[in-house]
Amino acid sequence: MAYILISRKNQPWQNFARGSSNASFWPNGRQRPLLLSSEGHFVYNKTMIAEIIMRYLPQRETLWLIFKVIVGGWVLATIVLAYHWQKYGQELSSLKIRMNLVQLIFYIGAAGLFLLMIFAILSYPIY
Amino acid sequence: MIIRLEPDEKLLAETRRHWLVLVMDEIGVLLAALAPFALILVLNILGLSIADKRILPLWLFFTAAWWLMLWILFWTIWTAYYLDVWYVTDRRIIDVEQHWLFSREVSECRLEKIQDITVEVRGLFAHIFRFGNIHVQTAGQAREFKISSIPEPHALKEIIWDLHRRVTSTTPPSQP
Repeated sequence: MAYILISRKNQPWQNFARGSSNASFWPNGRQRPLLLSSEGHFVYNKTMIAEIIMRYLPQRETLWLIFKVIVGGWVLATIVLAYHWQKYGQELSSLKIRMNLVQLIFYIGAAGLFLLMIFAILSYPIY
Repeated sequence: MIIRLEPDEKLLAETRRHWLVLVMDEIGVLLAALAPFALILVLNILGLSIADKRILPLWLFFTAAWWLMLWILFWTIWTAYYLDVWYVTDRRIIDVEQHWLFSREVSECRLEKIQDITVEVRGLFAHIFRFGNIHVQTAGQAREFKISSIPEPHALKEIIWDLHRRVTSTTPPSQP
């Protein structure tokens, strides 16, 4: 089994971990993702991390909630940017056309990314 | 402050920092956009497949969210770059300094007040891509006008000197 080294030797918390009788296992007998190697290093078990990730994947409702927060943040940021584009980007006629083009590109790009997010949520399985 | 040209005033030049400066500012954003692909490698190391029916939409969702954030950042940097500008008219130089959003300073100097113009080209890239700084010293003004990293600074200097000569030759000398 492959391990990734994550810490240095001889840390006080390692001694604490060594002192416990069964540091590598949960009380229910399952192996902990955080292990002590024979050299006394803390190591991670990759398979167990993957297992934990898969176990705690979010629900689709959670993704919708995150999506709503992102939309709110985007609206606020866009108000700030649009304020600059409208107030300072329109002051001379030479700037006007370019700023309008920039706004168009910005909104098209953002719309594309929002659609991608919606597509991702809808293709995420309900379980 | 909003810029208003005077009646019959003509805008002759509009200059910004060199495009290379913008590229250097944006390069971090472009590199950050590749981060989701690095995440695929991390998932592979952990033994998770991107082709998984739950992992793929989740990766797509957070990648789009990340890119959306970078998209805003990209245009914020661009806006700060684009609104930082020098306008040269047939009567004055208008210096708009846009440091970041909500940090803006507009100053101007009349062409007849110009006393000295210095061009500064420093560094290998500045010589290769032909950009540099211009300093304009004006009479009766403590502040020095400076624009950094503009393309073809010598050409702009010539334009300003030419305009200065024209203005001073038509303006009657002021009474002591």
